[in-house]
Amino acid sequence: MPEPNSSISSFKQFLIRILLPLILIVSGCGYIFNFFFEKKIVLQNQGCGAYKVNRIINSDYPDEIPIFGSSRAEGGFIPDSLGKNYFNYGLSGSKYDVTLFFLEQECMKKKTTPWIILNLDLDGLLYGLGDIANYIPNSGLPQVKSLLGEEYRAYFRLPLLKYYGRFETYVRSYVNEQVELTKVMDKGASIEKNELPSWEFAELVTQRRNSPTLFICDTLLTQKLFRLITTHADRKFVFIISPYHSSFFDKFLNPEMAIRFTDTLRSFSNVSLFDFSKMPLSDSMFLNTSHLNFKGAVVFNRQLRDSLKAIGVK
Amino acid sequence: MLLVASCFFYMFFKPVYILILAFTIVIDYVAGIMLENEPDKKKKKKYLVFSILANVGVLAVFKYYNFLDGSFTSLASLGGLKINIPYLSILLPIGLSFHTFQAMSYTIEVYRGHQKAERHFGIYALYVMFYPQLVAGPIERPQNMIHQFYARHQFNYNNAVHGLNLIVYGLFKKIVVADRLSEYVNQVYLHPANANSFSVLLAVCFFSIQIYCDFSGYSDIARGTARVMGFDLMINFNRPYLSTSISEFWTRWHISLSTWFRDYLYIPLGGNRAGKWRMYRNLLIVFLVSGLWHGARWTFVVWGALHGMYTLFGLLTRTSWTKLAAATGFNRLPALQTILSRLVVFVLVTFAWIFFRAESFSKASAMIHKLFAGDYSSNLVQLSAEKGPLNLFLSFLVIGLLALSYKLPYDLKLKNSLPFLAITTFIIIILGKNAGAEFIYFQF
Repeated sequence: MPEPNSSISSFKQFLIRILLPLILIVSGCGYIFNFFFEKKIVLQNQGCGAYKVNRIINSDYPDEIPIFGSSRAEGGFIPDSLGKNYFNYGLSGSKYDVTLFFLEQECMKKKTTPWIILNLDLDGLLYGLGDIANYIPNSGLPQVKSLLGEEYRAYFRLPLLKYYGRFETYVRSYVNEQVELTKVMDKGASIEKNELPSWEFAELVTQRRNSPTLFICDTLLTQKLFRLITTHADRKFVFIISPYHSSFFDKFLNPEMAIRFTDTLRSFSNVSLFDFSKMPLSDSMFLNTSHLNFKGAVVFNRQLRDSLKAIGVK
Repeated sequence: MLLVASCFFYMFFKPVYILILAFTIVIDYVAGIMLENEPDKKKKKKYLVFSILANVGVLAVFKYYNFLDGSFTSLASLGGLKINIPYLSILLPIGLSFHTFQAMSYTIEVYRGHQKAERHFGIYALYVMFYPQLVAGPIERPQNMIHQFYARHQFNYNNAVHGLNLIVYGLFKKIVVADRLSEYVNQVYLHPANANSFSVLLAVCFFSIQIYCDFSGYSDIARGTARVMGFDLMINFNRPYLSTSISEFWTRWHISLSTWFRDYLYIPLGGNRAGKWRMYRNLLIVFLVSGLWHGARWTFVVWGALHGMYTLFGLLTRTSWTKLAAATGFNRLPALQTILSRLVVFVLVTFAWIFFRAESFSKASAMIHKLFAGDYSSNLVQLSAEKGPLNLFLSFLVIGLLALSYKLPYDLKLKNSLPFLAITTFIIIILGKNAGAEFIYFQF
């Protein structure tokens, strides 16, 4: 017969000899690991989305000209080709709610330069956070928490555990920055070197021709964008529609909506807009039908630089 | 309490399917009692057949109906007939093949007189539904389980530590190894045309390791969970890729299923008692049925047939190999012989997994075609299966960690578990994939 208290004493033994020491060891080592990982990998690497979110919130570079947008911004704009003060804040996978978050943070800063570059995608103004890993280090801040909305998790506050399943994202970005094996990294820009074989690109073109695109503007996002433009009359907003492959326009269902929207943007006195969407570029300059590769980005940035110079952006 | 927890666990996936489970439980519970009470052998057999038919019937409807329907329609169309049998759009209840086989082992054992019929309905229901092993095994025997449900279980330090070791190691296998390798494997199987021969070779080898870690990882977690509560479940995997023959492989891989087939199909068919050729036939039948057990697809049948043929070939040529080894002096190098045998087994098993993993023959043939196409170009995008070099590096790293874990004592009975638990937990947090991927064997 087992002793009546043996179960409790056995559990106590388990708690004291195994569970508590395990929790202590993992938390202790985790805290130290987390400290160095965050300091040396996550927030030190300009190509990492988390670095960009941290930079826009916590750093001040008065003469910096920021470039905001999605992966088309991140992989299409080469800051060093445009000038010495540019920084690419483009976040892969994100939509305009994130662009507006960056814009809002930027507008709160006191700057010596008024210029802000915004990439405009032809799917319109939509919602999409992209990779949550970009927000975790700053998820404790109210503005980031509010941006995350339902995606916010309480464990984002726990050292080490908050990065569970996402370490690879940061390390990949760090390695890309250091080695530049498959990408060219430049002040936040992360541009693919890869040139697809022609048969593979042809497949992408076929896919694109079978998938319709609509320009949709969410009312709240549009209002927010217009409000930011009007309330910050001292800032100059330059919207750029970066190049698309010609196949993109085969099933673009409502170009008139896009034109109406860009016309409205142009009507603001502090807004300029350059449309490079139909810039003639060869297939080898595209990563896919909506993204440039490095070869294409170089050509595009050369023209963009001239256009920006023409309106006085320095 | 355990029964309630088990019901809750099962209903978590799709609540209504508990009714199917309840149906087979009631049938087998009653059948068990009737089998024990019935002195007439003929009637006894009838009850057994009824119970087996009820179980197989559930399997047939939910798992094989559409497969049989599709196969029959295709066959008829080959003969110029147009038959339109409606498809059933139903989801396969989770772990159906596992708990059905476990339920059948009970009635067969009662019929054979090896097990007393269980009178306590709750205990019998728990035998079928015990949640750690309900959805993906191990497929237990009543002799091993039922008496454990009667025993009083108190919290025991050694059980808890051993159980925790198994759970953490199972999580390592699943989250760190299997889910990592699945990234590469899934991409290559999705677009074999984009891969080169080297990436296909890597993908098929990775799948061998992925499925082992996925399934044995679940078994470890199931055994660990049961162990913490004081229950002993059978060991389901015993380092199968260390086997030196296909026959040995099947004594180390999914042990609970292979012993099930041995005891309830191979031996009743005559086993090896009725001459060589009958034995070969029986072996082939067992492997074909085993293939079909895994899934309602012809590719699974081919997978089973391949293993059957491997086993037969091994048996038929065993003496010749021994003679050849003696004649060439190769038998004086046992270590090299072992390494080579293991390699051959791994290659054969890996080749068969292509049919297991591919959703169709056309996909399997595309993979095999690419594998032997001799395209060994050094395109980094192809080599990394479009998932990036870091993913490829991490895939090799986790395989290395798995190999390293083979240095641990058998069944993780460690003298001091704390360093193992701390290091493995740390590895899981840092290298674990947060993919939310299901266990592969849940679909069976």
